[in-house]
Amino acid sequence: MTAQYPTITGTLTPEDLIAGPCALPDAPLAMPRQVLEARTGLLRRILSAFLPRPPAPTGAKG
Amino acid sequence: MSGLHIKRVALTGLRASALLASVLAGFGAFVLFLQFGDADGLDTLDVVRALLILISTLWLAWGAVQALIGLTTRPKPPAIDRDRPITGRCVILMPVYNEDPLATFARVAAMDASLAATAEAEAFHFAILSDTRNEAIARREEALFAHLVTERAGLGRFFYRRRTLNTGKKAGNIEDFISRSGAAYDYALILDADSLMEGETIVEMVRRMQAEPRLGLLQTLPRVINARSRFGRAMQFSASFFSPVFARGLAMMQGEAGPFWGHNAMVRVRAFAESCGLPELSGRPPFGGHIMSHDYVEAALLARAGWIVRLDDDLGGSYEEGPENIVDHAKRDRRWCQGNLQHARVIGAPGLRAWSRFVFAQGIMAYIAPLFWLGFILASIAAPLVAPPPDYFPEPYWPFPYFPPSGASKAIGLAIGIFGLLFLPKILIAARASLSGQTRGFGGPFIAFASTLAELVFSSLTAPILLLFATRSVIQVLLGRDGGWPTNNRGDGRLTLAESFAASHWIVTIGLLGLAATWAFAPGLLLWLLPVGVPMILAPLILGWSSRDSNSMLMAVPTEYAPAPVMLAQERIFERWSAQFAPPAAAGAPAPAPVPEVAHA
Repeated sequence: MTAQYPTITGTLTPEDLIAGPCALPDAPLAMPRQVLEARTGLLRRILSAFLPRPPAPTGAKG
Repeated sequence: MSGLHIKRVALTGLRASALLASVLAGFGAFVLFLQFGDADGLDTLDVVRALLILISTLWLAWGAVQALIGLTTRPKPPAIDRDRPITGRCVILMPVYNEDPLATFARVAAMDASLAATAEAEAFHFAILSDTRNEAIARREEALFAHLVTERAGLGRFFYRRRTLNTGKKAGNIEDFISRSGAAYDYALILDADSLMEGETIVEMVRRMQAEPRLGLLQTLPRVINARSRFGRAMQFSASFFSPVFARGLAMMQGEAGPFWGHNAMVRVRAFAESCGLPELSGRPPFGGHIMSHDYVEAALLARAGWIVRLDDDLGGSYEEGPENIVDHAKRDRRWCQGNLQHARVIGAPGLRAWSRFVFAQGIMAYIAPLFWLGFILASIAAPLVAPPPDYFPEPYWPFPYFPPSGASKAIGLAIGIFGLLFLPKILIAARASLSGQTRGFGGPFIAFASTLAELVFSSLTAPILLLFATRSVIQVLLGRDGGWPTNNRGDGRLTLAESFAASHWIVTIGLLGLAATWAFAPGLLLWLLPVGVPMILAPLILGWSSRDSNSMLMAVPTEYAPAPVMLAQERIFERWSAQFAPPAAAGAPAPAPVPEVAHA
């Protein structure tokens, strides 16, 4: 199928070109996953702000 | 008080004033409607309708306020040193997905030629990132890429990669590039397959990125070009004549958390890599899975990480193409609708800026607003059924009947107010353009004003049809139906009457039933609802008629009178290549197999 098209300077087929000199440069850069979903929902977080909380434990005596 | 602090206070003041004005307009409509409903005694439906009109008016007013802010200022370029040489390296990313490579690669060649005319061409590379699923199109992409490299002497500057799996769609395509090659570049210009940009604009964007090290993303305002149909040219005129003013208003309120529209924008690669790795949302599509409208989310994430995201609406030389008919527009809108409603899952993400959350809310509102209008219309048709019969003798033994005061004047006042919010910004934009000489590119003040009126009539005719398409999209998403990832149909979008009818017969049915119900239950409303019902009944004719080619002087835009140099270059290259590369079917090759995504669309 590709034979019907002209190739670059008569030396490389399009497939060779894409696999060789025109392949993406190898220069990796990390793209860490971002946090978009809080572990608890927004409504639950808002409501929990108003709920009474158990008193903080007191330190051991002595 | 520091300059930065004053700027922040001014920005907060502007945003608060805009919001307050919109809320006041909404409450004004609410009170006016309650007074109208009170004429014959308030009932539950009156209150429901008043609430619906409050939300709808508030939304309309927000758009109008944005335009008014835009009308009061002019865009101006930032003061930067333009003699400073470009030191960073920029890659121009062209993601493709089953589009015609002849047109797409001709755009790449034209942009490369345009960049070559600047003194900074050395700093730019091009990468074509293919997600094409159709093998015949993929082979053609490869062949045309080889031709592109040969013609533009692009060895070492042009790259092509096709993914075997298109995970994450366009966002995944860009992410794959950054993960593999991102460290080789300082900046990346993200395009769409139909994007076209002047070399000078691209160079200026890099200069602005260099001048502001905190700038993470720079968005341009793309103008729609090459429209041929009546619908396409109306959209093109609107994008060219009205949108810059709305964008100016948006730019005034953006602060450091501006928009990203997914293309014709430049990112700082390091900022994008460290802030924009998108996770898959829990659950299944349409609300879970990959993030569809990734651009808004990426803008919010960049702002969250402390980078500036900015729309520079003074930048010209940025173009895109649009749908040529209402059906293609509705298909694209279906995808955007799903993407925006999915943002309901992201709006509460930890650490986002308040303005970013507000932008998500606006996007959601843009798609659910039609539901409020539809709800209002339905409630108005039903209202007479539940209203108590008029009591002409409220006082016992009083011999003369009492006629309750008519609320018609309130209803008319409300209607005038709502139409004012819809039409006034556009009329004011036309008036300002006429006074400032900006109408020159639009055929002069007279034609520009006539085009404005024609656009108002056209958008009034198509609004009820688009309202129903949008409503259907929202309902489909809420019912959990995933719209997939259809290819954009670019090119001749002429619809036959049969195609138009197939796409809109359900709209005709709703229009007929709606007007019949109004006639039966609320005959007093019939005249008010004719402008909504009649376009629905005529939907197939409107769809077909609006998809026909237009050569009218109306809706003319500057790029029709004087195409930009990069447009002319693209046209020349496209014509030359078209003669060299016959489409596969004509060349005797097997015709491309149907693309599942297109069939789905």
